[in-house]
Amino acid sequence: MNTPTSPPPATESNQDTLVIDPVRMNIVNRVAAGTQLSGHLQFKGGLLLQGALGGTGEVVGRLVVWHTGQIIGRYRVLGDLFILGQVGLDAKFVDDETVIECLGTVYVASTGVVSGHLCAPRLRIYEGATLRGPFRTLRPDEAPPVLQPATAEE
Amino acid sequence: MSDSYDDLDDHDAAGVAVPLGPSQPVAQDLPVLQAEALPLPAVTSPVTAPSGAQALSTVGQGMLFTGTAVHPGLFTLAGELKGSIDVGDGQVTITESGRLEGDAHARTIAVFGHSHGTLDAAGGRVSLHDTAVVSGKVRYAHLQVNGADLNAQLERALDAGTGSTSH
Repeated sequence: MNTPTSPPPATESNQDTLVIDPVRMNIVNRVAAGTQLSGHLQFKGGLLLQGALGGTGEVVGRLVVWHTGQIIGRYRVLGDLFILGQVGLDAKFVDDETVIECLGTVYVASTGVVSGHLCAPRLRIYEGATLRGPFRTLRPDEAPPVLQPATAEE
Repeated sequence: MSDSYDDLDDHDAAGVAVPLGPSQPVAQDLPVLQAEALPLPAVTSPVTAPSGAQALSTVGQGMLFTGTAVHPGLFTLAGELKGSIDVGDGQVTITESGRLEGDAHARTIAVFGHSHGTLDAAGGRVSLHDTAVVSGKVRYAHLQVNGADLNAQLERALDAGTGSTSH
């Protein structure tokens, strides 16, 4: 994004564009394409996810699920979530084991595929995106439903 | 930080502009019909819809309709409807003042108001704008959401006939 706090700007072609600039987005962590991580993981300082992430954990900051990226399991995101890749195990079925809680805005790009559970205060879905499964809007006065610290045995 | 990404391959993400998709206008910027600006002619004979034009029906603001509305064409809900709407390959628009308690079946569904039930646009398009409050189930082939209050089960159905969810 052009600025970390503003919504994606509309370009002349009426396309919203996300500019991935780790410095401006304060993203200090990256899981590269081809990498698979699983377990109980905590990322402080955002995450650029180009590989596969499983298990449970938390991302403090912005999470960008790249086109090659996939996230499976229970994670909470204390920031905005940008989905260009896949959330959930299989795009053809609802993945009840994947629950993503986001305390910012969820952006699902036209290439994004979500088959897990999502909840966030605000959602933007672009045409072409695929969502399968429940989405829940978190209200400001509502405590996040399963935001107790995730544990490895979950 | 960017220097550490210099060795990325084709999927280089540092400083890259990534298209998210077509943007959706905010509801406040969309033109709306102002009822008071449309002088109604005196009706002296039964009104027939012009041939070739899509029929337009409206449940006006302040009106409560209970039952099933079947209407092939354009349907605007500015009031309250408890029951179901079936417009076939037509379009349903729920305005900011509109409230649907039930199901809507259409090719195109645009929601600015409240909907509690099933929005079925299998093989078609659903647009949920930032003023929309939607709960229940949403079936779609193309979906756009721009900040709507959404608590729903989402199902991508590419084929209206079979409800196929294949990709």
